[in-house]
Amino acid sequence: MSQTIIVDPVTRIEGHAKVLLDLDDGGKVKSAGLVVNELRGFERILVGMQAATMPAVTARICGVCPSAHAIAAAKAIDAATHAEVPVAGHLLRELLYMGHVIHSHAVHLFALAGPDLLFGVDSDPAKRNIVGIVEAHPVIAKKALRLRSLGQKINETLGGRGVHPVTVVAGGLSFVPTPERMASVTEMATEALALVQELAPPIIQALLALLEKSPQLAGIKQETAYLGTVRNGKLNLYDGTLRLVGADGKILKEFAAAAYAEHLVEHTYDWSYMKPVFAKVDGKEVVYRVGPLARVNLADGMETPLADAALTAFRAQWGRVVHVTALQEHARLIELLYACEKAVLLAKDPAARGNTLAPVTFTAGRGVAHVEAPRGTLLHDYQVDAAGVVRSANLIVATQHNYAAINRSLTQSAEALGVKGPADGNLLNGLEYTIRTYDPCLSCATHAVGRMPMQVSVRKDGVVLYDVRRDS
Amino acid sequence: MPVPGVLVVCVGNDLVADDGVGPAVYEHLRRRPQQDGVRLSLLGVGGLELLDELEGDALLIVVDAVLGGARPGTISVRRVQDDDLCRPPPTDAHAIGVLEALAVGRALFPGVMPREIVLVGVEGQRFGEVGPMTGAVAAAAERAAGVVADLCAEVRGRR
Repeated sequence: MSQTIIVDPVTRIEGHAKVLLDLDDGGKVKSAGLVVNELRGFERILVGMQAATMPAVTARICGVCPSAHAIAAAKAIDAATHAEVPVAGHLLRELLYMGHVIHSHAVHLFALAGPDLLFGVDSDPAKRNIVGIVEAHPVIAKKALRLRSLGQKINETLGGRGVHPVTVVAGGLSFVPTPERMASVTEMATEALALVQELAPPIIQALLALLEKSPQLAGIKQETAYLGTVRNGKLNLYDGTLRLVGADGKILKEFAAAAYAEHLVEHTYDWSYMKPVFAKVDGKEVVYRVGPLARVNLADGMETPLADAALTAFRAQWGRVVHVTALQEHARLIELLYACEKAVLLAKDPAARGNTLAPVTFTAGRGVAHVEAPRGTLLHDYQVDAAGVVRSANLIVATQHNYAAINRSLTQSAEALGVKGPADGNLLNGLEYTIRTYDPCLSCATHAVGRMPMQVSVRKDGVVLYDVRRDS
Repeated sequence: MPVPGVLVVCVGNDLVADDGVGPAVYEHLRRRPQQDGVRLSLLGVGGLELLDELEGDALLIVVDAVLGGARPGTISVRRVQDDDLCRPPPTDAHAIGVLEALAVGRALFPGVMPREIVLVGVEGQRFGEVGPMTGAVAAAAERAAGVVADLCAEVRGRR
């Protein structure tokens, strides 16, 4: 008789989620799926709004990656209106975005992955958190927080003070920064670059120690295809072409974001609101991943010297294409280094001075654009009418690209961990860890103060047999 | 040396039903006459960004939607105790929550921590969808802004 175990909700990721574990007659894991219960309907509310407001409105979708949405939307409306964004407009948007990436990757490495790296995935959940890190490693914590803060300040100095960037608009950037402002950004980027170089060795050391301590983690890998953005073959987070490589690293295709519908296909599950996306390759549907590991796997190299050297060392140690999920954090660190280097280059670039904004005139048309959000490829697709009103909108977020792979990883983790009954803390920890490595945003920024305990429900033929709860 | 002020931080997402009450309170407070020494900030999900706002204030007021089982729109005022920061809830659905951020601040940057922390909560009901706030929650936003203004005035009166 088959059984289903539900893990609900997952902690320290955006939104609420639960995991379904279907067991076979012998009590072994048959399949696993991350259930996203909540229907957000963000795309629906965009229809009927002025297209020019898309950068500001979509930035409010997510409290974690507002700049990624703002820039993807601005680029999509640029495309819909054929706006000729000045070079300085692009460069300053990219600089602002590097600030966001620095902030986001620093938070992830330090606050979200950090507890796993420094304490181990099996450690006491009450201590396996940011406060535990601060108590155990105050010096590293201070530096990591400073790095996060610098990224955020770069973002705010160019994007405007507050949660969401307000200067990112269709046509470019809505203001020209003063030389003093640019000098301040250069100073912050330079400090960030120095800090990340100090932080990288202990992070890598912690990751290696974790893999040694928990050898099963090295076995959690997914041999999938990978999707991400390259410009001239090098990893790029702001713009470029989408490249899909196979599990062996061979390039399967490269295409412009505007052609995504020809190469990617969205599906639906009857047990979840989230729509998984597959790549179309030779008439088959292929599971792929996006995000830092995907990006370092598919790029020929990095554009900046320190990050390129870090990638070379990474490949020398782990191989040309890396499938081990835990190494996502190492890939994130390489990108963090890149973002700091790139921020310094952009801040000093004379081409980033001068006019930043082109006039925008609406005619009926479609605009598709993308950006590499910290967690993976983010696509915005708008149909706009001649009055500049959005008639349809489709957003594909990183978690959708990864969804099929997340479910595969969960199945694999659950198989490895086994299901041992109602007090199975290891199963909870292991599945939580697996999901966190993908860093999924499930519902984008719902927030409420309140206890959200973990719950495991064991079902048999659709009927809950028992619950296991972790209330603190 | 400047007199320690009051920092009011509103948290939430105005697109997502009752999660919008923090931003709504923020808007009500913005429309009121500004009080001396009071800084007002809107912080989205209210994570580590909160640390950038701290300036050793006399009082920090955090305004947020809460899920405590009360009737929607119920306003609660809770003084955050040291114990709350010793053991922040490990199962917050967000990356880093307000209490976790404050716990980090207390451990690493004691010089900028506020002397007193108050959480003004507005009980919400719907958090799983895009759309307007529940009527009772929307109606509570202005009253919550009044509660915040009174708390600010109380601290100013003590100076």
